[in-house]
Amino acid sequence: MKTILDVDGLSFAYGRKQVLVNINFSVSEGESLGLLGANGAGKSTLLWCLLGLLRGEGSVRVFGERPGASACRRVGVVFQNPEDQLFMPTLAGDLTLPQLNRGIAPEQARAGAVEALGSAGLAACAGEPAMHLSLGQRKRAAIALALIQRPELLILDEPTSELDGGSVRHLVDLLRRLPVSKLITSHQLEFLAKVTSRIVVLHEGRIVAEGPAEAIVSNQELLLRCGLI
Amino acid sequence: MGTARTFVAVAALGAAVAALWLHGPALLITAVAGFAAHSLRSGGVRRTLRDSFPLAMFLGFIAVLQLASGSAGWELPLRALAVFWLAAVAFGVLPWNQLVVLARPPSPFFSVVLFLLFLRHFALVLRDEVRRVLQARRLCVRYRFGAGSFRSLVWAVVALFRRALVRAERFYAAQWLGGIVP
Repeated sequence: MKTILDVDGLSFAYGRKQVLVNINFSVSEGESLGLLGANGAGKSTLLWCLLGLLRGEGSVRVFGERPGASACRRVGVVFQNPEDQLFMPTLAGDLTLPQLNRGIAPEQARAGAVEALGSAGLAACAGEPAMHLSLGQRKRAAIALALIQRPELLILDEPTSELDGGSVRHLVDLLRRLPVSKLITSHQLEFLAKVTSRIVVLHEGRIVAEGPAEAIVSNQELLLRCGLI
Repeated sequence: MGTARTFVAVAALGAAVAALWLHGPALLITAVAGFAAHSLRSGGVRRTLRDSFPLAMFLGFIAVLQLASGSAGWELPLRALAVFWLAAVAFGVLPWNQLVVLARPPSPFFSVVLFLLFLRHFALVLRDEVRRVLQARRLCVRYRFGAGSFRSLVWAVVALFRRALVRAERFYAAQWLGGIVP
């Protein structure tokens, strides 16, 4: 299978504080990879390096290119806080804007936005601003926003943080239905086991384990050592 | 409906820009009009006073600095408040979705609309952060005035700047990844 994301020997430090040390992993086309780590393990920093927002030592290749505007056009990202992505007065407006920016006609862009919101279960909220919705709905709207750009790789940073059980269930259903490759960071074992096939475990900036999702989440000794249970 | 909203918004924006140059009674009348318009839109005088509180605090600090340098005046704070009230009304009633569709990228008008939208979003972010910081301070300081209150207020403002910076950084990153900003 074709490799779409390749990380080789990536290290990163904030000043003198080493946050990532010699990170190596890859994501293949169609694969769902989980990035598991406790708070402060370096997951978000790693994502920012993958997207070219931070530059570390080592090599990162996204679709064979260095991360930047060109490669990131093929990547959809859902941030931990969806308010950083949704800023228009209505959800439909949020989903229309990136399409207009790509030169799609307004009517087609609006229809696309309504359809995307419908598939995220948010058709009734199209005319509302993001701030009037629950956090679970905002997360789903941010996913719809990422998907409307037809990404080949979807990156989600802590998608279940602050969500209740029902919202997590909705999110699991939505993610399972998506046919794109996914890279999902989380510290929630059960959630990652449901939506990914392979998991990489990050602990204090280093990869300490990698393997099938079921094997990782059942390894109690590893999870205890990494502060995950 | 859209035309009426646009008219109100343009009138409010025009008055906000005019307030930058007005003096004396004309400035006072503009400020009163801005206050009335904001109160009408936000649903009451109390709401307008509450929304203006952080800005009034900042303006009070500036007034103290002015007083210390011997150049105190009432026009600068009043002008700032007038611009805030009128701009808030304009931003609240502008039909943004229609504007975005009308302003096709990559026209300069589209950039202006985007700039105003980002400004609006960030004003809302700042408002939320101010509320959170003040609430956090209220919960940890026994007395709002007196011992420790000034120091806690200073740290609340520092926290506000840090949070605003982080939010701005994330917001820019999100828009850059979405291909909306260069």
